[in-house]
Amino acid sequence: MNILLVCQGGMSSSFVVKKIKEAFKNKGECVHIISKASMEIVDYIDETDIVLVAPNVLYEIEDIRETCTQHGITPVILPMELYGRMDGEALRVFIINSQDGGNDG
Amino acid sequence: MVEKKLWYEKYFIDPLNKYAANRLIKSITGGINGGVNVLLIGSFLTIISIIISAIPGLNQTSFALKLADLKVLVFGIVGMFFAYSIASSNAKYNKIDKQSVGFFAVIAYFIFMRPEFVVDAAGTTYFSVEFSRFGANGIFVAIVSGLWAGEVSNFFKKRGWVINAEGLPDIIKTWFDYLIAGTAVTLGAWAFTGLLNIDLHTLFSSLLTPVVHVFTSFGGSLLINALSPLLFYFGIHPLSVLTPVLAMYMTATAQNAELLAHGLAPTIANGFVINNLATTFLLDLGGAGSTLGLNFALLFSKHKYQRKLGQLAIFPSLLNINEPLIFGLPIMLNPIFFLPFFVVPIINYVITYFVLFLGWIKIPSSMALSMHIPAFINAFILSEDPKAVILVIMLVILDGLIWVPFLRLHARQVEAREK
Repeated sequence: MNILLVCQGGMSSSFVVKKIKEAFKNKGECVHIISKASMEIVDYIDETDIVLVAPNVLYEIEDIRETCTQHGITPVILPMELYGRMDGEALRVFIINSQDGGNDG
Repeated sequence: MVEKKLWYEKYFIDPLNKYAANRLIKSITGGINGGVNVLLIGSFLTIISIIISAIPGLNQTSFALKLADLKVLVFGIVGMFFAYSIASSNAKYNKIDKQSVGFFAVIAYFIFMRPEFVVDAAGTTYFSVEFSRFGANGIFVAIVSGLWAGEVSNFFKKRGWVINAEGLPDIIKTWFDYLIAGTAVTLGAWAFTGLLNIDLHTLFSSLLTPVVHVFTSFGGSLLINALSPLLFYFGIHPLSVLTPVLAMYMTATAQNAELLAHGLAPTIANGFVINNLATTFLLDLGGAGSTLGLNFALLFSKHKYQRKLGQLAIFPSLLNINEPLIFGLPIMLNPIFFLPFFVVPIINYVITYFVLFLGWIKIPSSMALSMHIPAFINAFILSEDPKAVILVIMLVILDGLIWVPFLRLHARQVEAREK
C-alpha cells in the first residue's frame, strides 16, 4: 500500500510521516508512505493508493480533490489535532478506518 | 449537514483561500519556495566564509577573496532559477511538462534581461548584461518570465489544435505542441523587448520602488508581521498568501547585499534597508508567529501534556516548523491563545526594528535566506553579527515568559474539562 501525505512545503508532513510509519511498523504492517509539498501531487499520484491531506493546505482542497479524482482516489483530510500532535497510532487507526467505511474526505 | 458560515469565514477566510488557491499565486509561491533552495548553496558558502574570516591569517588572502567571489556569483544568478522554478510550478498545476516550460521561462528571462553583444577589437563577442539584474533584483522579471512561459505553453498545449493530423505518433504531436508553445513564448517576449522596446526590469523598478518603500517602511513591515500570525490563527498558511509580498523584501535584501559587497558597513547612513527579507527571516523564530519561545515555555511547563507536546514539537520548532504547535496545542481558532500569538511577533518586530535602527546590531543583509536553519544560528548567518544571536535568545526568553500565563490558563481549562 502506497500512501502520500501532502502539506504546504512537505516539511511538517515529513515529521508526521515518520510517526505514522513507526505506528504501522509496531503493528507489524508494512506500508510505503512519503510526504511531499501539495504541488507535487501530480508527480507521485500514479504510484499512490491513498492521498492524505494536512490541515495547512485546505485552502487548495478543491484542486487536490480534482487531481485525485482524475486518478480514482478520494483524498483524506487529516484531523487537525491528530496531525499537530503527530499521534502516529491514532493516525494509523484513522487512515485504516477512512479506507474501510467509505471515507468522508 | 450544512453549517452556517461565521462572519470571519465569509469575509476573511474564504476570500483569502480563494486568493491563495489562485493558480498564478500558487505558481509564484511554489516557485519562490523552490528557488529559495538554490540560496542554500550560497548560505553554505556564507557559513564557510564566516568561519574563514574568523581564522587569523586566512582573512583577505586570495583564497578568501575567491570564495567571496563565488558567493557573489551563486547569489547573483538566482533570478534565473526563480524564472525556471516559477514556470515549472505553474506547469505542474497545469499538468504539462514542467521541464520544457521551465526552459522556455529561462529563454524569456534572458530576452527580458536585454543583453547586448559586444565585440572587442580582437573580434571576440561578449555577452553583456548588468549583473545585478540576474540576482534577486530580477525577481519580478523572473515572476513575469515564469508565468508568461507557463500560461502561454498551457494555452497552446491545452488547445491541442496545433497539429491534429490523423495517424501522427503521439510523441511527434507532443513535440510539435511544445515547439509551437516555446516559439510563441520566445517571440512574445521578443516582441515586447525587441519591437516595443520595453525594458521590463527598468519598468518594474520604477513602478514598484514606491510599493517596496511602503512595505519596507516601519509601518508596512509591522502590518505584514501582524498579518502573518493572524492568517495562521485562522488556519491559512501565511506563506501561501504572503510569498508574493516577500519578493518585494527580497529586492531590498539584494540592494543591501550589493552595498555590502562594495565594502560598506551595514548601517542606515550607508543606505541599508532595515526591513528586508533577511530581517524577516531573522524574526522567523520557530516558524510563522514566532512560537519558539512558546515551545520552550511548554518544555518547562508543570503540566505533563504540555511538556509532552513541547518535547514532540521542539525539533520541528528548531527548524522553524510550527504546525505541531498550531494544530496540536492547538493555537488555531483557540480564543485563549489569540492574544499572545498575535502580540508576540509584533513585540519581536518592534524591539528588533529599534535595535537595528539604533545601530546596535548590523542590519541583516545576507542573501543566505534559508527557512529551516535554527533561529539562533540563522541570526548570525544573516547579520554576520554575534550580537544578533544574543538578541534572538533574549526575544525567545521574553516570548516564552509572555506565553506562560496563557498556558496556565489553558491547563486549568483542560483540567476542568477532564473533571
